[in-house]
Order: sequence, then C-alpha cells, then structure tokens
Amino acid sequence: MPEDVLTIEMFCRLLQCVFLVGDENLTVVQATVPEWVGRPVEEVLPFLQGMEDILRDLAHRRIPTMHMPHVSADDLPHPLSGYVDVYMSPCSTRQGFIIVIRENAAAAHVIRELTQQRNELALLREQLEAANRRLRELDEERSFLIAMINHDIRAPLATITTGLSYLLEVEKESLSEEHRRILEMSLQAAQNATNLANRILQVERTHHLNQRHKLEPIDLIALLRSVLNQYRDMAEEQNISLFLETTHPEITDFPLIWGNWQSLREAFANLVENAIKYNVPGGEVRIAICPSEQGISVTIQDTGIGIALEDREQIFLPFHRGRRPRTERPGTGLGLYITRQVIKQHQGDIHIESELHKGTTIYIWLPLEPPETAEAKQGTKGSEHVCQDKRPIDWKTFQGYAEGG
Amino acid sequence: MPYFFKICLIGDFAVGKTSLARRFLYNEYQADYQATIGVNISKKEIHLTDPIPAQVTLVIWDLAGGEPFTPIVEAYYRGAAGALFVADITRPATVEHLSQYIEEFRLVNPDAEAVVLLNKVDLLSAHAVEAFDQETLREKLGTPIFLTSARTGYNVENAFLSLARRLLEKTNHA
Repeated sequence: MPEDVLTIEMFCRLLQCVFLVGDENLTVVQATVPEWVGRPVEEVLPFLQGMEDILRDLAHRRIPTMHMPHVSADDLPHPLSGYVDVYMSPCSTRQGFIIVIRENAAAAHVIRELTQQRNELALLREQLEAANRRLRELDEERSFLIAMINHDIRAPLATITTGLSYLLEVEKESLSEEHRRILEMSLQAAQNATNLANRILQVERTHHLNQRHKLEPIDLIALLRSVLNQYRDMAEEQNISLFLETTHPEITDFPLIWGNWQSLREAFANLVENAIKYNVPGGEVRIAICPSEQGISVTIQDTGIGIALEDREQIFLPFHRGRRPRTERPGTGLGLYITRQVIKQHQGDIHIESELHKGTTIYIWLPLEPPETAEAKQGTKGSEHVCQDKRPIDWKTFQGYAEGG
Repeated sequence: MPYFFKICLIGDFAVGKTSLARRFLYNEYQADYQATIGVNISKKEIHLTDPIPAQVTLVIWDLAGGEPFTPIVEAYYRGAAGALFVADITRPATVEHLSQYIEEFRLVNPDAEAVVLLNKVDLLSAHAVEAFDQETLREKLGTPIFLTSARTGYNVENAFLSLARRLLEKTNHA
C-alpha cells in the first residue's frame, strides 16, 4: 500500500472521516468503504458530479491540493452528514488522486452562528448608512428651504410691511374706515408671517448651535437685564411689572455660564414675551436667578392666564399652541420649542408648572461648565440639577434691578 | 445523453442566493435570513427541448456570500461550467460588486457562462423597476440579466433554465 494512503488511513481512524483513492479513469481503487472499490467516483460521491475535469487534473498533477471547508450536501456518503471538509490531492505514488472527507459539523455550527451575526450586523450598518444618507439629503433640503425663506419670503414681506405701514401713516386722513381696517388687517397678517419666518430661522440656528456658534462665558444677569429692557415698553403697555431677583449676595461677582449669547438671549426673550403676552393687566413677571456649585437656576414666574393641563405636555412641541385661552393671542407656536432646543444644547433643562387663571412658572437650569465638558464629566442629564427651590426669595434686596440698578 | 453541469451561485451576503436555489430546487421560500457558510451543494435534473432535447443535471453550488477571493473560494469555483451572479436590487452596493465577482470567477473558469440575477424585485415599485437602467449594466457586465424574486418565484426558473440552455448549446457546439 502506498505510504501516503497509509498515513491517511491512520488519520481516518483518529477522526470521523472517509477517504478514497481514484485513478485517472475516475474509478475508485482503494477506499474506507470496501464496497466503493471498482465503482466510478461520481457514483460514490455524487455531490462531486460535474468535477470530473478537476479530478483528472489532480490525477495528472496539473493542479495542486484543494481544500474545500464547510461543504454541505444532501447526498454525502454514509456515515457522514451535516458539514464536511473536503481535501483533494494528487496521489504521490501513483497516477491518481486521494479524496479525504472529514465531518466538521461542530466547528461549522459555531462558524455559521458567527457568520450569521456578522452578516446581520453588516446589514444593520448598511441600513444605518442609508438612513444617514437620507438624513443628510433631508438636511440639505431643509437648508435650502430655510435659505428660500430667508431670501424669497422675508424680503418681500418686509417690502409689504413697509408699504402698508407707509399707507396707514401717510394716507391716514384720506382713508375710509373700511379701507383702513383692511390695511391694518393686511399689515397684521404680514407681520405675523414675518414673525413666523423669523422663528423658523431661529429654529435653524438652534439646530446648528454647537457647529456654528462660538461658546463664551456669559453673565446671565446682564443677559436677562437686556431681555427685560427689550420688553419694558410692551410690559408698560399692558400695565405689567417686571422684576429681576437673585439670592446671590454680590451681583458684580455673579458666576458665569458657558454658552452662546445670541441663542440664550432668544430663548429667554421667548419666555419673557410669553410671560407678558399671556399675563393679565396689572400682573407681574418675576425672574429669579440663583447660582449653585454646578449651575444656575432661573425661574420665570408670571401671574397670567396659565396653561391648561392637557396642553402642558405638548407645549414644547413645534407649532403647538394651547387650545384655550392662549389662542386669542398671536404667535407662531415655535417660541417654546426654540427655547427648549437652546437650553438642551447648553446641556441644561427646562420644565414648566402652571395653573389656569393663576399663572405659569418656568424652571430652567444651566450648567456652569462648557456644555460638552459638563456632559462628559458628569455623565448625567441636566434634569437632575433642575432648581426647584420654591422657598421665598428676599425680593426687596433687588427691587429695581430690571431697570439696571 | 445525460449532461452534468456544475454551476455556482455567487454574490454578496443576504442577496438571496440560497432562497433562489431553494425556489428553483423545491419551489419553496423561507423568509428568515440564514447565513450560508462554505457551500451547499444540491442537484436538480431538468429536461430541455431547446437547443436539443436533453436530460441535464445541474449541480448547484450555493456559495457563502461576500467572502474574499481566497484559494478556498477558488477551489469552490473550480470546474464550474457556469454561474449565476446575484445582487439585491434594493442594495446598490451589491450590484456594484457584481463585476468583481465575475472577473474573479473568470480567472478560474475563463470560458464559463454567466448570467446575472437582480433579486428582490418584489420590494421595488413598478416605477422603480422601470427606472432601473438594465441596459447599461448589461453592457458593463456582458451577461444576460434577469430581474427575479425568490419570494414570489418571479423569473427564477427562467434564469436557471436560460443558463442551462446556454451550457447545453455550448457543449454541443464544442
């Protein structure tokens, strides 16, 4: 018996496998299963049908050894089943070839599981990449829309507003009552549309806050004072008193927060405007600011009409406006959405408490550290630091502060 | 005279090679994705009348998808008379990879026949299917293209039989 066949026979005794030796006519000349001898190879190994040329090439040593792992077939030779490894080699001592088939079901099972997981992960990654691509496309479309609003809508609206204001002012005497009313309605509509366009641009700015805007140390007292000054005339018109208060002993040594001045100012302006707009004549808006070790809490309390319980959950959603009685006031439904976006992007938190016909209180917390650092260092959300301290504040210490004292 | 042809199913993972094989072999479909490792070998006997009346046995080697072209993959390819190259029409990357698979396969079997199956066509709208530029792909790959669905069975048998006819015709000419 040739030496290499002897070696294979020994190998086969150790492992679950079969072997055969075939000649250049593709006839079995030696095999583990004695009944195979003298039969065509493709008859005893039918899964190799169609490979006759390869076997002849092996027999004539025209091609080297071939290894085919993890082969499964319905017609594997008895006693093999499941997955097998197939080794095909030229016979070194005669014109022929040797085929060894080793059962390998256990290893194949593990490899199959791993392959399944790898492929499923790769599919998920593909889906994620496709979703990201779609998001980028949508983002580009949104940017285009915003640019269009900025250029093609705001500019004509400004022209219309200016024109209508001019007519109402210059032609005041000659206008009939009806014509004046129509012009005033048109002007109001144009102003509302301008307001909406401005709000949409604000939303866009908040989406790109961390990318575009530089963060800087901000004196919140100075920022709030500037907001209150902006709304002083509006408050006076509605006979509403504005207060800015703090428990901090030294207003000149107030802790600074890291943020974007413009965005934060817009956020607080939205809240102050709401507190005045939805207030009652003779009412109050009190802004209290209290620093702590990790952040600053701001409370904006009004004595207004309040927000119905069913509206409170949705109040921060875009384009949501309360059903009653806030609908009587003009607005875009974007102010609180913008405010929350800005606060979130500063790693802060905001929540609301309100009682119908008694007033609304907005609680805001902002971290002292730069937003990214604060999140990474604490590994927590800002909501854990919301200042809900409702103890009475020493109001008189800071009366007149809103006026810049 | 009986004919035996070894044919391979080649393409990226999860494009539906095993589902196509099962649809052709047993006219059945399994929705769950089960990864193939190595190769599953099955056989189907068919009777052709064109180009000549013949009994043909297709030995179908359903290969694991997305494997790099190694000596092991080369061993699987060896001796194949033809191949069905499969892509998922909803995943453009799988279509893009077809030319590489064809090139590698032809390195081992220069004279082998090839057809391309763009599978999962049932997942596309009629409009999207119409919009798909088959002509450019056909010119690029130089093979016949079949839009197929293993799930519905659409065009699956046509694709396999087309390859079988081409193999038979070629063998007879030879």
